[in-house]
Amino acid sequence: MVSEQDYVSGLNGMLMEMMEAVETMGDQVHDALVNHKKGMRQQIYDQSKSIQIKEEEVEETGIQCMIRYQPLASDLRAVTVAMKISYDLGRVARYIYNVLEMNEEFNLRECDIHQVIELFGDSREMVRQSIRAYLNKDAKMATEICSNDDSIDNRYRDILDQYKHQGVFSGECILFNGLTARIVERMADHACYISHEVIYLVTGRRQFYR
Amino acid sequence: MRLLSRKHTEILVKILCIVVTIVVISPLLWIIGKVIYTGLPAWNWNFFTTIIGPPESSTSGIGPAIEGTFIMNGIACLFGIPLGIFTGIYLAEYAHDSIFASVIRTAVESMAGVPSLIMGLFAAALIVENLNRNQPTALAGSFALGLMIIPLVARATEESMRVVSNDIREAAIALGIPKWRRTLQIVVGIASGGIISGALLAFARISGETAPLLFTAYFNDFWPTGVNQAMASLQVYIYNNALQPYSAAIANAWGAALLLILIVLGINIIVRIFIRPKYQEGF
Amino acid sequence: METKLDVQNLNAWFHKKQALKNINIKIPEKQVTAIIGPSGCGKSTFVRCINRMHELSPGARVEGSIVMDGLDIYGGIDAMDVRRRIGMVFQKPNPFPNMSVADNVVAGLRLAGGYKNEELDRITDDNLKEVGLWGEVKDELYKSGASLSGGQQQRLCIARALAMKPEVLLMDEPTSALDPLSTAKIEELVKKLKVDNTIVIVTHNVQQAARISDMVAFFYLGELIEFDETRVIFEKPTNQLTERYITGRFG
Repeated sequence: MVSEQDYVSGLNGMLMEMMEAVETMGDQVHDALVNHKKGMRQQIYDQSKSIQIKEEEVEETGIQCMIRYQPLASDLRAVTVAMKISYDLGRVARYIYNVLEMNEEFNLRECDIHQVIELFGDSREMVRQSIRAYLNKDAKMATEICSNDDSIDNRYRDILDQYKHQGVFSGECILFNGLTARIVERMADHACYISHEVIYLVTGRRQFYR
Repeated sequence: MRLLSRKHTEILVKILCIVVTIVVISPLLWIIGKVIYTGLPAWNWNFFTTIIGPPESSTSGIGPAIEGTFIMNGIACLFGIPLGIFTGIYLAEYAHDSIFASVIRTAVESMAGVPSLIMGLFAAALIVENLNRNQPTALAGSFALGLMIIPLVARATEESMRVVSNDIREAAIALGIPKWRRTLQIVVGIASGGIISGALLAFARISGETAPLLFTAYFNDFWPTGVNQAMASLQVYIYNNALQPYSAAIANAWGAALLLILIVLGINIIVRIFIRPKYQEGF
Repeated sequence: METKLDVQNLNAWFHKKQALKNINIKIPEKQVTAIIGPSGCGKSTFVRCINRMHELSPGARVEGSIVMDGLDIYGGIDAMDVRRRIGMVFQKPNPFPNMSVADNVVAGLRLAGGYKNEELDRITDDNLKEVGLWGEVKDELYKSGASLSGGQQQRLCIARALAMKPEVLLMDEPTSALDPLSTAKIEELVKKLKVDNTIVIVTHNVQQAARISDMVAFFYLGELIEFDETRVIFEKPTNQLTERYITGRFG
């Protein structure tokens, strides 16, 4: 690969900022889940909002790069991929906020949510890895990450299976676990999409569908 | 520390150039002025139409000399211009860096430098002595003049054709046009302004050459009846009459000189004002 | 995709210096093939080999074959015949200044002989319309070819080449000397012409190649480095050198 253009480095810097913000958010929400904290809706919402704003900035900057520099080949792929990944990170932030919303909505004192918390952690790890693969332009790593998506899907189904037979669980517990697992599974999907973009960036092959 | 400011230096140099130019042109202007002043009085209908009489007569004219000049110039152009043009075409388009081409080019350059007197002697030796049993003939005079035309026209032709941009030739090549058509119909067509100018200026130049005619066409007081005879010409007329003791003869000489200068100047002006601009329009 | 020009083992020299090294390429029919590469890479030499103009340069030598419709251009055919069947447009517009606009269009035909005047008039009109010049010059057909603007002159040269009904149209940096508006007009023209003509265009403007070509050939130091579809070359070229040239990382 040729050396990186300055404007691509600029875009990557913005993406790294987004990722840091996503991590901060994610840590806070993880903490809220584990310690049954409530009342964090506003602060998490604000963080999600600022990440959406950053996403718009990346998009706008990308378009300006195309106008100004008319990039081709690897430069072109770098710009379009950066724009796509910013969208994916924006979605991830949104999902993290949704998870917190679930936490605020439901009374979970009597509910076993450790599976969902684990799933949440693993999905966050996938996103983290996919961004690392992006910054290192590591297509091999990206391919491996995406193959983990299947396991996340399976665990999500396992969680749902538990509730197929209504029994001793409270309605709130069912709802929380079901909905949150779904949200978290979508997060993992986006980690996979990011990995697809990394593969396209490095090899120019585009064969996957969202 | 400057002696003069930059602005003053500019003005000084400009004035210097103008003054020098005036000094250089003055003799020309003086000559023209003098010829007009002295020659014009001799001009009248009689002057242009009568045969050349005895030097002391004031009723003699220069009619035969005018006709003779045009006839001899005409014949000279007839063979000199085409030869000159084709030599120029050869040098411009066909001669590459071969020894043959260098020889031709040197020969043409040298011809341009040969004194007209020598040309006249050569023509006299070749034609008058060997071919004409020592009878003077206008043909020999034309031949000498023609030899002088050739290098002038060849040089003008070659230069005009060299100036034609190579892009044009490439366009013709790319269309698959054969070389001879490209040379004659396109390049020569574009160079035609320069070639015509060269031919006209050559004509003007030989109109003033006297030496070649002295041993070849000599002189003839009467209207020309054929080309293989001695013939009058303006140049030789002036030469003959200028040294005569008779005032009528001298006056007539000035009159003839005026005519000659007008022809030469006229051609130069026509070339400069009409021909060059017309042919440069498309460039 | 039919092949119009099958170039095999083409080598070319200027005196001792080798300008083209073993070029093998199949130029497709009725498409625009762009030839790109840094200065001195042999792109102009390559197209000039196609219409056998390279051999006119001092010390020029060519080896190899170029087969067009089953006939080897270098196989004993008269070079002038080749040039009548393969047209060329140059970087600097070069209409004949001593001919009118109308005469310029049919200059090649007229100087090859054998056409009646009425035919020539019709051919003039048709080709001027084809290049989009008709409307602009129809009242001035008898003015000198050189009296037009630069962009118009270039379109006139294209009309002149097209009038010969060439099998291939070669264009050597045809818009380098023109302003952006004329350039745009000529690019539009090229896109229109490729429906019926095979076009090979040399350009040092990578963006132009991206805009108008179907196939791109990248030359470097006399060698053909990569030849592929335009969208492949400009999205993900196979060769590192191509990548570096296109993204401007080259000196």
